[in-house]
Amino acid sequence: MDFFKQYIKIMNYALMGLVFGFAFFYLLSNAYHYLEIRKDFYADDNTQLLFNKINEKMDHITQNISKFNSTTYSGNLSSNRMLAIQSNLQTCVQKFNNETIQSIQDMKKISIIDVYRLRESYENDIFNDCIVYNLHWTTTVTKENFNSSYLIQNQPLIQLYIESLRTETSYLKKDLINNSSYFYNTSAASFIKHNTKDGFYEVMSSYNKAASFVEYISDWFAGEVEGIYD
Amino acid sequence: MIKIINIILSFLKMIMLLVCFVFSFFIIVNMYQRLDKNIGDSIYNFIPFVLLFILFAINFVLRQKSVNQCLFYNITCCLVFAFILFAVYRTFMDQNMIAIIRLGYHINFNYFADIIAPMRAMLYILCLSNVLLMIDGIDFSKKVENGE
Repeated sequence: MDFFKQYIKIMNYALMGLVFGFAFFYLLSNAYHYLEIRKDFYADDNTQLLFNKINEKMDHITQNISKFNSTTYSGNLSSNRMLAIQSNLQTCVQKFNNETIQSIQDMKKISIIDVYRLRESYENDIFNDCIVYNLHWTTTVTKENFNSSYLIQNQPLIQLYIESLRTETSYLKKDLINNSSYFYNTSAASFIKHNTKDGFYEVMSSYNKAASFVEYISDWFAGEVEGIYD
Repeated sequence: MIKIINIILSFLKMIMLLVCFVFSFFIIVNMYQRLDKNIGDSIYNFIPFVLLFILFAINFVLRQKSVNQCLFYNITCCLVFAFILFAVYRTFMDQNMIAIIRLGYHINFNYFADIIAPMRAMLYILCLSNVLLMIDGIDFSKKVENGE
């Protein structure tokens, strides 16, 4: 009987040790995860520089758009077409000055939730509303429907650029949505980076790339108005 | 000293078990409601709580020293409940988890769903340990002597 009781005792302590270990692991893992997603990022000069860069591009686009005058225009494209493109570019500028980016620009402390909102605004305002709704025509121009050899020649480049804008923040989106799971901090990719800071710079670089694309189209637009591509 | 710690931990584990049960019940029932699932199916999640409560009550009423005075068991119980309570706190209060915004609820079901399986496993093992400690506490030698 003693042997039986000893055996039960050993088994019991082994079980308790197992639960103790698991509970300890889960508690520490959760505590780490709690602290990890609480990490804020304090805005500095570099952050302001990024916003300034985008704002400068927007100013340049606005200048390019204002060059068009339907009464004096005598280029390859029809005036109506040029007016539509001008309106597309104007909408893009408005979308770039969306509420989310305006509010984040004034923030001193940026949290992971702000990064998530910024990424959502990139997807909705910039990619969907600006690139897809207003500038997607740049990928479908042909000799038959568009009389501008410059855009037709550069179409493969434009398509590649838009594709990169579409996929660039998808990894970040997955990462941010999964931040409710404690598996989040066991993934190597999350472990080696500051989620808020790196996530912020990732979205801002996409914003910057999208702004560059709109600027590129607006440069072509200004050139078309001035008769450079004739 | 150990005796006093054990008494404190024995009461603490009882209170913590009740608090854990109440909050887990609230979260899981809401979770099932949100998914339009039959709430009756959620009962499996509460069985280990009820079992453990019955066992604690038996330990308390019968004053079983083998369980009540086992420091390792008491600490392990409190650690498990501390983990569950921390998870409950985060389910309601941690506003840095994106799912709480995306789902639009004030309870982060997405996070708590990850906790249910380990929570059940640990509670079942605690039940088993409790029973084994009870068996360990039975003095078979006396009964053998009485039988002779």
